Amino acid sequence: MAIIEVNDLYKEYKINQKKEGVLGAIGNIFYPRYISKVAVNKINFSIEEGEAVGYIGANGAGKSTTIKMLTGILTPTSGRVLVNGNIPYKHRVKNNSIIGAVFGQRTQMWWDLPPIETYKLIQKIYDVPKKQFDENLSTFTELLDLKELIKIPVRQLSLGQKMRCEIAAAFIHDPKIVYLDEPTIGLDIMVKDKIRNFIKNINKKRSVTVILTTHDLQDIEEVCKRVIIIDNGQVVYDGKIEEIKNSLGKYRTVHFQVKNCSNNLDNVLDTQKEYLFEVSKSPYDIQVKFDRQKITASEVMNIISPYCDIMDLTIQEPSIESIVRDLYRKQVDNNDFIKENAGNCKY
Amino acid sequence: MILLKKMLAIANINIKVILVYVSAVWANVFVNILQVVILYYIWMAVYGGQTQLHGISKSQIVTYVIISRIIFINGIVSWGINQWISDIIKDGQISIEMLRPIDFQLMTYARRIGVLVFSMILYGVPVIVVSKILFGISLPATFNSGVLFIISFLLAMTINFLVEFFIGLIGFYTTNGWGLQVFKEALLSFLSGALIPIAFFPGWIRQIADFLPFKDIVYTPITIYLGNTSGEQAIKSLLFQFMWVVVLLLCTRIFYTTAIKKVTVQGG
Ligand SMILES: Nc1ncnc2c1ncn2[C@@H]1O[C@H](COP(=O)(O)OP(=O)(O)OP(=O)(O)O)[C@@H](O)[C@H]1O
Ligand SMILES: [Mg+2]
Repeated sequence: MAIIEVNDLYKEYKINQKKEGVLGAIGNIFYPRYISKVAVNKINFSIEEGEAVGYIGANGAGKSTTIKMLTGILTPTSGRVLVNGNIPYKHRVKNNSIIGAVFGQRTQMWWDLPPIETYKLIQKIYDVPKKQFDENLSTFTELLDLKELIKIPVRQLSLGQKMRCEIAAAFIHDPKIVYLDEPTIGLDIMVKDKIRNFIKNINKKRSVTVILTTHDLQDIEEVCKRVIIIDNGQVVYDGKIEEIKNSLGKYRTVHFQVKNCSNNLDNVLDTQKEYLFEVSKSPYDIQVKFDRQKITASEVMNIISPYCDIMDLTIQEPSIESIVRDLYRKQVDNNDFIKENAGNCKY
Repeated sequence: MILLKKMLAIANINIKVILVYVSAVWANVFVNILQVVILYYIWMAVYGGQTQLHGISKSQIVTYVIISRIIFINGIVSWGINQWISDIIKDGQISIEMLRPIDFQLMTYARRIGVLVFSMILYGVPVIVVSKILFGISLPATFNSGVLFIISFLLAMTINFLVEFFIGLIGFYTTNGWGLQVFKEALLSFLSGALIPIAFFPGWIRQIADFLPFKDIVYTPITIYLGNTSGEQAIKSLLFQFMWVVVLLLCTRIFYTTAIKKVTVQGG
């Protein structure tokens, strides 16, 4: 049986519509008026033990709401979640003892104390054998480079240092499942890299089930084999990450900063329509989207350089938002797309 | 056993937080002693030539003042769990605390009792030593009084915790945690007997105070210590305290189940 089973999971927030003024405030007490907001709309998936799953979608898509229901913080409005056979919001203590979690903007560590104190607490409250705890601590210290950090009070740590310690805290009791809600938010490349490698490593070696939400596609590419994309509270894709990358993530956008463009450029770009789309142009700036399976970035440059002085260029990977948008376009173009890909999620 | 180990670990880490701010110890002890001195002179004036008022002797009232101040300062005024609960509700940290592998109320209980016992030793011992030198403080009336006092004291601190927990839960419905703290202090400093022993209360106020659980936080354990409540009467007091623990436990459980829905259903 899958370690996580989600059936028709649905969550609706009720937001109190506050009326203005004193009369309004009194009115609120007697006739509170609610509007409801569907955050998660009947989603289904199941996750096997040891999987690493990327859970992505635009801002407000419903990722955090889902994670909160999986951890038991939120009660579903309807539908069912089973985690290791338990209903998280009912069998709270039982469920808590087999999971670890990181919420990007929060910390589970004691703010005034060094991280090691929180780790020691975790050892006791999760009843981790001392030997196993010491082993984990030394492994994690090395992998995440924590040696200096774990003795400094948490409030004196930088964001990246804190997050490295936080990640260790989420894994140190050998949980079966770890939920990571935007663990790399606001971190630089080096720290992101460390964290990704760590998660990948632990997921592989200890077959800890990992569920990761992020806005950085690279997090997913490096850590997860499977990705679930959610939009407007609904699963729009569930399958292998390669397929997404091949079918949708194959586009790149190049920004050129240019000078002295000749008038011929327009005509030239026109003739290359097949390879270059969504061209936008101003006297100092050209933006071109291309399919990297059909044409390389240097070829794009070769097309443009005879007609302009290129001062600078940047290449952009597709963002999660644009992938979700493209998914929708495809869905409209071809209704079978989703069904076809939905098939992929049954491993 | 495992549960006890968990609770000790939680008590332990929160005690360490107090040690971070330990530089405040002397200020705290000083204020505490100052209050004892002031109250001492007030009570001496109240007693005047009399050696006994409402069944409490002049020397007993000194001991009463010292012990009640220590309970008041460490148990009622500061480090209240209600403040912490209000804070974590306000800033949303409660969702993290809900993920710990122990019941939320047990966790807060361990936290509170640990901090309370520790700070009573840290702040209380110097106060007792200084007061002993200045005014003298009497030992428990008898050995039995001492033993019963310890039981009564633990029940008292549990009642104090449950009252704080209840007030903390009100934080789910208002963001004014500070106001709740002030309210709690005002209510408890009077009705617990921390300011004036309940025996001094006039007629109907005394009847109300006698009925409520608040007197069991300060007045009941100290009168047992002094030997003014003893034998069968003392056992009755303990049972009464225990009954309040059960009642308050039930109330807070029900309230908690309702209040936490604000987080689990409405999303904070
Ligand atoms: N406590 C709440 N009360 C009311 N509405 C909420 C609450 N929390 C979230 N929502 C709404 O539910 C929807 C989903 O929010 P959620 O936080 O799950 O999105 P998300 O995918 O995590 O977004 P992000 O990438 O910005 O973190 C949003 O429209 C949001 O406004
Ligand atoms: Mg989110």
